[in-house]
Amino acid sequence: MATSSASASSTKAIIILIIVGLLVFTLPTVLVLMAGMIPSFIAYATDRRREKYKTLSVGCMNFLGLLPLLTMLWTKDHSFDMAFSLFADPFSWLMVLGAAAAGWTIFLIAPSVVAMFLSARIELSVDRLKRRQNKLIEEWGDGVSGNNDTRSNTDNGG
Amino acid sequence: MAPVILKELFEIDDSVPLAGYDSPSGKAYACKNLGEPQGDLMAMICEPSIPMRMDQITALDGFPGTVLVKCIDSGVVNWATSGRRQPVLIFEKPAGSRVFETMESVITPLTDDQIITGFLTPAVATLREFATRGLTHRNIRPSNLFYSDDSARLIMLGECVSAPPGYNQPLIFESLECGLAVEMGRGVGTPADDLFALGVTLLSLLIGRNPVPQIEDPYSFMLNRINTGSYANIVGNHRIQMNMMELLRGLLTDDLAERWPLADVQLWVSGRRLTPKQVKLPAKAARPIPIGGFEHENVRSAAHGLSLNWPIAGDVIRGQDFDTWIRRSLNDEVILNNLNKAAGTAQAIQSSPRADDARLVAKVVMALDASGPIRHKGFASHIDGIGPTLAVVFQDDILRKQVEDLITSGILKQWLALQGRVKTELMNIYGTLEKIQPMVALPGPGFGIERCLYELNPYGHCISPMIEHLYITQTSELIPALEAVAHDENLPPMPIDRHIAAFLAAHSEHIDERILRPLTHKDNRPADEALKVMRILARVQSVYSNGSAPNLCLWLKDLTQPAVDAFNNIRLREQIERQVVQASETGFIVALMRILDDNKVIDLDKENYRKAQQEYKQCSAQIHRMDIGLEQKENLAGELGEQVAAVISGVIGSIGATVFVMLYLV
Repeated sequence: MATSSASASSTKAIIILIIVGLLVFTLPTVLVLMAGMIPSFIAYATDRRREKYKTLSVGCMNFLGLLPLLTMLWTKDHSFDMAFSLFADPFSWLMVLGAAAAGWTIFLIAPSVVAMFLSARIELSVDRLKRRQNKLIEEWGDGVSGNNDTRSNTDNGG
Repeated sequence: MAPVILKELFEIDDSVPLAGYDSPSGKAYACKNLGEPQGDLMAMICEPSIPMRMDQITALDGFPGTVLVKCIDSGVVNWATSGRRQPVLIFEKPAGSRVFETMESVITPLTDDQIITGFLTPAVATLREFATRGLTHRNIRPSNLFYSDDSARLIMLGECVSAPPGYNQPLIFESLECGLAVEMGRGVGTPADDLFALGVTLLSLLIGRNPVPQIEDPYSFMLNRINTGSYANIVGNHRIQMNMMELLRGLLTDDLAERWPLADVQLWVSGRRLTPKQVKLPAKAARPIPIGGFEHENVRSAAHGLSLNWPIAGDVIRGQDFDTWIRRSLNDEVILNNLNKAAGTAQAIQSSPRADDARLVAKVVMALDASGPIRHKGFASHIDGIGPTLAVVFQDDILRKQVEDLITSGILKQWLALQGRVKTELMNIYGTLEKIQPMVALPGPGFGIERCLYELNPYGHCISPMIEHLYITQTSELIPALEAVAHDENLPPMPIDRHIAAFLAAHSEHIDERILRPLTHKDNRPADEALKVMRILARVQSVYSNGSAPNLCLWLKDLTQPAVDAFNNIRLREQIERQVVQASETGFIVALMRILDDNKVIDLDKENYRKAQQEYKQCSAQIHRMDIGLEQKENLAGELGEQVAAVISGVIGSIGATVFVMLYLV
């Protein structure tokens, strides 16, 4: 047992070292990501659900908006200067925030759409069940509904 | 009025009454034979409430000679005067008039020669023929004698079939054995009873009037006859020639062993003359026993006293005085043996419970007078008279109860034990009484006292208030009778009542207890009683195959409507309604029954109805759940919507990233 917990701790330490190493070597990318993903961080902070649907909705779209900046950073010059110049361009912010706003919009609109869809489906089912009940009454009379059920009282022996 | 036709053989003219030929239980009308002429005929329209001797009519078939008013046919006709169906008897009409118009008539006394040649000779021959056939006339009296022609030389005996034996006989014409019973219960008796009646009739002809025109108190009259002999009480002070005295003493003696048989009468008629013997009186006890304020000196008198004073007779019998009287004063071994057989030992009698007094009295009376009628709770009848009595008194609650009590008392076993030789006919009646005794107490239709009535009167008509006026005597006539009833506007509640059920059970071998028992038990099915009635009538109709009965079917259709209404499925119900209407129009109850009595269809309908009810409930529950879901749709849609939003964003993000990377790489 002691051996296995020691090996798990060492694995964790190796992974942390790798990540820290990567962060050190990719600091411009980290900078762009930290700044560009701010809307996602906000969504995360305000998301009370355990499943973090809001974070996912905003995060996915936010990352999509940030992807062109990251691509430019990686392909042109992976430096802090390039990273700062990208953020200096208002178009870059428009793209990043616009994408995050789209994610947010999707998150806000979807429940209403789903509610509409759900109520339409329930009403259809209720209509179908009521039609079936009416058909049963037509076939068996009012007694089948249990209301005014004189018939069921009289035919016990029959 | 149009003549009434009977069996397409006889035409009865109801506008020509023959008052001179009426009998106490029937009115005579002119009648003619539509087939071969059979001489003068008369039709007697009989009282429906009085049972006729139908078995006697059959037994008298082919009776020889012309000195008996013979019944040649019988039937039932629609009688306009009474507005109902009535039984009719067709008789050969005597050519002469009635000898005594009524029992109060006074005529010129007949001479010895007239009596011997004109009356006794043919009467003895007639009674001999009766005896040969094992029959009795039991209706011999002056007012039932006719001259065979206008010359008034030959006297013929009147009819003997329109009423129960001895029913129309005044008390003086009945022997002690029969006279102690009620009029309806006098029984068929023996030739000796006919000879007794012949003797009193002979006396009436001799003196030209009824020898005892009025009896103030029948009880005292019978008591006097028992104690001082019938001869002394009937002949009394009438002056009789010596030669006739011998015959009268022979015929009117109360001791059956001493009463002249037919052979002796025949010898007397042929000319044998002996010195008249004194009439033998019953053996007297050493001292009398007081019962009900009267001192009884012989057993028959004591039996009469006990039976008439039955409420106090139990105490008398249990008393030491009675035992001493029987054992010491009477000193009759036969009576002692009878008492032991019927009621047990002295100790058994004395320890008998008070509640059993009526039975005890009946048994003791039976033991004291074994040849007399069975007497129970003041009612007295011979065993073969119980049936006719029940038929006549059925509407009288008190008398009917008396008959019922007699049947259920269980004293008939003792009666049988006390009889010597019992005629086959009486044994058959005993067998029937034993069979029906347990049925009397059963409450359901087809049992009870009504069953007794029809079992004991195999030729009796059904006296159900519904069809009594139609006078049906055979079960095959029931469906047409009910069809006629169904034709009326005011229908009875049910086509079968207690009388019809009992009539069917007693008279039809096809309707047994298995079929009748369900009428006793009720179940919850709608129109249950009507369906049970329908099953019985369907069986009767199919067994006797006597045509369709559409009105009866319509009646049954109405009665069984609740059974149709009980079908749950509306379409099935409508279909069954159509089928029931079609079936009732055919007039065959079986067709109706097949539809309404199909248990498979009924069960299937019930099962499907139950399933439909369940399904309806399930639908209601689902609707309720959905209504709740609709109310809570915001909550439901919130979570689901967020999931959907996450998925949509994820999908758009993935596709967008893939497209971007691909565009960039290309």
